[in-house]
Amino acid sequence: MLIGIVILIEILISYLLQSAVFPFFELAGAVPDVLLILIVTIAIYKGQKAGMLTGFFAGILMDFCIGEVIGLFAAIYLFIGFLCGFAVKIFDREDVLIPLGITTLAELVYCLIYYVLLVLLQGNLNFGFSFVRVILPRVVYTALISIVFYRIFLAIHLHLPERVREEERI
Amino acid sequence: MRRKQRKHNISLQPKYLLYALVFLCLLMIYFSYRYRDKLTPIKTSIGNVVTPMQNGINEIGSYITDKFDLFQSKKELLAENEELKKQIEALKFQNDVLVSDTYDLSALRELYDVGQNYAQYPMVAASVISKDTNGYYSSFIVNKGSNDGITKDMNVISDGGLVGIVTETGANWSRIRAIIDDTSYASGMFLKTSDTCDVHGSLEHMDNGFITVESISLQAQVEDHYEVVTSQISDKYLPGIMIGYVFDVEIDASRMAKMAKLIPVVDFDHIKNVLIITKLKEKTE
Repeated sequence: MLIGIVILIEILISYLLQSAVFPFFELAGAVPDVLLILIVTIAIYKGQKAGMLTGFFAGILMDFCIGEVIGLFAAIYLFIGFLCGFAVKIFDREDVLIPLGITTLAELVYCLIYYVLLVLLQGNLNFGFSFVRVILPRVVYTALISIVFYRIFLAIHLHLPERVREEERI
Repeated sequence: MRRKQRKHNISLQPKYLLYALVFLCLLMIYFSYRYRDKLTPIKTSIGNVVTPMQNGINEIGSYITDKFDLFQSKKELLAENEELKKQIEALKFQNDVLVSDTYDLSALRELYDVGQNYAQYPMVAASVISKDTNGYYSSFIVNKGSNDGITKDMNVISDGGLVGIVTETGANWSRIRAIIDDTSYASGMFLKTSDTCDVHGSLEHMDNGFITVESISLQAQVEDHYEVVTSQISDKYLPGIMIGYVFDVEIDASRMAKMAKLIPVVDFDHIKNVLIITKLKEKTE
């Protein structure tokens, strides 16, 4: 229960970061996907179910704030949380490279799904342009930022009071 | 009680949770698409919670960027100052010429019946607080909403040119779709020749600094540097708002119409403040 509240607060802060703070620090027109980094971190650390739920709620927030319909981002993020959750088996708190690789892949998957569902189907068929102009900068920027944010999110969860963490371990 | 429930949860395999949540998502997509109108209050209320936070962060953000700008080297500014002084001289001269032109212009306008200039429309100033961060669409959120009398389809201008149109409003925020967005079509008109055209946004071309103008009649005598304004026949845009200047006029692939490139007068990379015209275009039902 408590851990849920902690994660919800993290989701809100991540969303605020990516929608209001990072637009000031755009790289090649791209804004990093902090929510995705959070989802990947939770999924790697806590497993598939936590990853899925985090993705689901993060997606719902996105849907309500910028989405046209409710549930689309939720479904994409949910799926990403599920996939990344497989990595819980190789989780090692000292390792940085595997989370980095997973985040990069996850962002790529996210961008491709987003492209197919929201851009391709709207009639924009120029994939090469979209890839170079939108997807690539976003993936690279997210990967770069994830090195820092993964550490921060993980540190938050590792340093939570025993009482809060204990519950999830039942 | 809760503990028990949790234990029960644990035995649930992740893939079933995935199926359940995906199903839930699909349901939500279906219902939110079906009952789109009824969704607005919920969206609005969530926006009302998130927007003040974004607003606060934004003020801090612009404060920091302003400070960064201050550190810009003094030399650069001095050189710019020199340059500007020279420009002032040139402009003063130009201004004298233009002032005499305005007399002609106002007389011609009356004849032309463009009627009121858009400067006379009632306007509300707003500042940009967040953007759609997915990269494809050029829409952004500003910090004024229905509390300030803003409603859907109001026109948004900045720097004396058309920025876009309000697509959604909450109590204290509204979303604006820029004319450079891929999904944006604005009906325009050449100020000099009154030929109508469609101004179509394009993210791809905007990287090179222009958007496209389509459906110009083959007979239209259109040349480079002609001004395009919003047309009288547009159903959402008020007439006479400056959009930009055309160049590279050519006959399009279908050979039925001409197309051209258009440089918007608004600098879309650096929009901070916009003016929302609180007068809606009268609809002919």
